Amino acid sequence: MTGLGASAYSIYGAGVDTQTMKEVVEKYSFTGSIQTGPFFMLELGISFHDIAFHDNMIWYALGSGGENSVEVYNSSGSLIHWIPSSIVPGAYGLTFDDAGYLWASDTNTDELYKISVDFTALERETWGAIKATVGSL
Amino acid sequence: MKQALLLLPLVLLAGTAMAATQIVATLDAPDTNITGLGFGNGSLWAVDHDTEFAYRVNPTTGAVEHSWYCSNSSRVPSGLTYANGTIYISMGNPPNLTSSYAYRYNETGVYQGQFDLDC
Repeated sequence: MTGLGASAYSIYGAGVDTQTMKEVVEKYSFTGSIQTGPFFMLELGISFHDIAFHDNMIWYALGSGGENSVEVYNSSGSLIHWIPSSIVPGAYGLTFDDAGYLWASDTNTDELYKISVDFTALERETWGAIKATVGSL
Repeated sequence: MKQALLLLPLVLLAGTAMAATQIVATLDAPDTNITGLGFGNGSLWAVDHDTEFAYRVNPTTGAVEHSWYCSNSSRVPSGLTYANGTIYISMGNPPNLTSSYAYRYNETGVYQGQFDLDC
């Protein structure tokens, strides 16, 4: 397990299952008792560092150098949101504060970023709509 | 002209969406390889993969308010989270962080126990 996140009731540990090589998230009590079944175990094909748990989704810190520095998956393993590296250049440690700001550590710049996140599916759908509209004109 | 008018609302909408996610503050990290972050009791909590130090950081000023050495004989730190007044730090054997455990500390850095994270 490489990443840890928490909700009001549980600890979430994220890693890669050594047998299946799938990304797995397990759920634990605060004292370490593993809860029934993994939160999910799916082949996401990502390389990640720390995680954060927010809105019942797993936020993965993907480091730097890729297209996205943060990707967000729901419990079904669907990619819901992402933050491009053009906005946040690197993310290794990851957490949310009480006001809903996302914090990321960047080991390349030795900085901590406080990030205002207001993602909806809008970003994804809007660009899709623009491409469709431009293509039809 | 008609095409431009059709595109304008979409471009404005996209601009709003892109502007919604942004870095609003930047702090100097307390160490050079912070790979785990958590937040709790008004503080940021961080752990460094290389030096194996954990830090309590003021989220407004970036000042380090407390730190402790969380070394384990063979495992190295990776992730961190805060819950229920406890700092949880995941540590595993390098290079692939196998045989991982979560190590629990109170806010002053006193070790509280550990549990197995491997599936």
